[in-house]
Amino acid sequence: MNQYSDFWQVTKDGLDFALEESGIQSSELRERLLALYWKLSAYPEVQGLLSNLKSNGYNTGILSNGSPDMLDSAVNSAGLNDVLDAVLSVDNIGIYKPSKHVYQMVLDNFKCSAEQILFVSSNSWDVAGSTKFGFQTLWVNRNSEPPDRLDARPRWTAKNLVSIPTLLKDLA
Amino acid sequence: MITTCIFDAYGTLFDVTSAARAVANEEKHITFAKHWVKVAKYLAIKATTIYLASDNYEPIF
Repeated sequence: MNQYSDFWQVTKDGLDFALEESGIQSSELRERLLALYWKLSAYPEVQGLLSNLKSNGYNTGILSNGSPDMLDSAVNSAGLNDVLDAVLSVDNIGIYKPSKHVYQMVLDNFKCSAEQILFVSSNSWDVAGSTKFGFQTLWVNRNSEPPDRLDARPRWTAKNLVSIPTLLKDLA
Repeated sequence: MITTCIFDAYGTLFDVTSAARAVANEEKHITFAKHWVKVAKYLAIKATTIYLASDNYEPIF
């Protein structure tokens, strides 16, 4: 493609495709949807989970293909600032997941080894990439979708994030 | 021993369908109600396709 596209541009392009595919032509609707994308809701279990992890001594963070301003807005909107130690965006290195350089950002930031990381994603290609990198991985499969046909599979799969504290307790 | 828990953002911590669902419930955009599920799904798939096809993507496989 020979051009840089940050995540916000990708989001707008993706929405334009989705609206056109659905036969919808409304600039007002488009702008409304894009505005709401800056203050997405967190899933119901997220705040409690992250608080639990912090109170039990775990480091917590986000690793996302999203741009820093979009991530900051979402984190602020969901009130997660106090329960996250780091919000890492690919914008810092200009390469998207599942590049190994992106997963390396976590090790550089937290000064730890790959096997000390539990990486959680709803994207099975992201879980496959991070598994191959060496993280211990959990695929959040909220919609019971089949996995992508890739040569690495998650160590665990769950319907949501609720079971993570129990999983960690069993491993300790 | 696991010391650090790292999460993807969109679709993992943040509900990316919440924007489309919220608009579908607004009276002004009531006709969107029958489209929002499809739009939300297409958006997720298409956004992934776009950045995987960009110069900013470097495969691990």
